[in-house]
Amino acid sequence: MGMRCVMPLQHVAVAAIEGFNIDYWAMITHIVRYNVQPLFGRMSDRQRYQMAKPRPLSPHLQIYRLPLPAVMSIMHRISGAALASGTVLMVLWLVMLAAGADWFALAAGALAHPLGKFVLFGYSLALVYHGLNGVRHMVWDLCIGLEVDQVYRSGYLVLAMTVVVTACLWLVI
Amino acid sequence: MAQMTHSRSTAPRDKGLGHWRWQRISALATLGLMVYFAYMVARIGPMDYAAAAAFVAVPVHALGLVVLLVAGLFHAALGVQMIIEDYVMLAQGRQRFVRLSQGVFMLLAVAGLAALTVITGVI
Repeated sequence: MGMRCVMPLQHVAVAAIEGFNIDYWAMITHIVRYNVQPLFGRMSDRQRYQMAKPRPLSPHLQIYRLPLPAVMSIMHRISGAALASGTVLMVLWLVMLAAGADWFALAAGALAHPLGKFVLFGYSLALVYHGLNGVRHMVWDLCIGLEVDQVYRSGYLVLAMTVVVTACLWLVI
Repeated sequence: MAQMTHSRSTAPRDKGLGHWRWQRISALATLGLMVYFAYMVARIGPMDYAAAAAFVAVPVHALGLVVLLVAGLFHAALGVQMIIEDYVMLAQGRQRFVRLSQGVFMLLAVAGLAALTVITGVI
């Protein structure tokens, strides 16, 4: 539906900053069309169409290039979901260990297989990232590092440490 | 912290904070024990069945795994609940999905704990 406000205050402020370079005629027509005319009588079909047609959208998720903190936020959620799914495999490994030597050999074989190693690598990567970024979240909970430049710096730090720690895990072990 | 504690809502001040608080507590527990778990995985890696079973059956290791299982699965359940609540509408059966996920994690915990009791030979 059409916008029914007369003129939002922030628009007035922006207009003031920009030296009141406003399309006054458009403003007046807008106010009359959406605030005055509906008060009197029935609307014409044309008016109804005007009010129902899609209004201009503000830029949103699919239009902006996501900034780093937003990307890291959704990565935190994705890695968390991956880890939650991975618990199935962890419990399965424990159950196979409990089930006896044959089952354990099967589990060990699966983990030694390139595909198994790939899954394990992905799991470790998600774990390290989620853990480090989780620490970042808890530091934020203490109201530390909430300035924009600090958020960016801690973000780059977490990304770098994720790479280093995961590499250490796989190179040392 | 001071600027975040003033609520103008009439709801009890700590109502609804439980999820947030338990998410942090379980996160801390899981974080610490996951480091320990990484060490255990590294140790178990080259072992054969008997050695691995004996290693897991060591009381400290078994206890660590028990707490990791409970805290980790609890943390996972809380996180999955958040994701479901964000993306599934009430009308689409949000509550049922949440309960379902909690049931799955409960089953996993029971299975893991049962496996650990068998490995350690407690029963």
